[in-house]
Amino acid sequence: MKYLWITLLIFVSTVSTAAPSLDVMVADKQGQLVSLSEFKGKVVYVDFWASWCGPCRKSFPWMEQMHNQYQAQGLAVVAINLDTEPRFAEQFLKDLPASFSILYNPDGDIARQFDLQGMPSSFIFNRTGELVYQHVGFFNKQQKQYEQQLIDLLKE
Amino acid sequence: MKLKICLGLLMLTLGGCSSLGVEPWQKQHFAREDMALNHEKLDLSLDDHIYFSKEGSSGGRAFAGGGCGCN
Repeated sequence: MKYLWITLLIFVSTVSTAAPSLDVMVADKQGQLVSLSEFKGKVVYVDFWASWCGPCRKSFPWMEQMHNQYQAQGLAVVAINLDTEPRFAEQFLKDLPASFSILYNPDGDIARQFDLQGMPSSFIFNRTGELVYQHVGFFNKQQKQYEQQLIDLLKE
Repeated sequence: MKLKICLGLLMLTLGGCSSLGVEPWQKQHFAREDMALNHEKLDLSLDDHIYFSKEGSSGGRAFAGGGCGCN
């Protein structure tokens, strides 16, 4: 019986049950590790994107708008790039300039920890760092809904 | 006892299914040129030449040839 429990334990540990949280370290453009917990106290919108992802092109202008509109009220937009080659990300940012935080995770280990189901994926954390909403994909029709969620959390 | 160990080992193999396939953020690799089915153009044209030379007389592709591959 003991062996069975041990193998069960190993089995459970190999099937990782990592959950999205702000307690992760992600590299910035210079390769310096930044902890997402630095943004605690703000409403954090974590977005995973890549240069080859079509809907990401639609989400960037929206995120830029949200950033400009709600930054003062305590919104932090953090976009984590998942391109394996940084030059593609650079080109993307040339086309769609962003003034919010851009971080880089070419290995995708953070993406795995967040258990991404699609591209782009976004995770909205409240001021106490709890995950409240998450979205897969970016739909123009739902922009109002995304924005309302941010407004509600900013009021908390 | 042996049964339990076997059972345990069997359960371990289940863990292998947890990381199957391509993750959403890896899909860029599908679009790479060397991932295309027709990446090796010369190889494909050679294969095609051999195919129509050998199979021409058996129909289905064309009405050519004796299968010598010399045309």
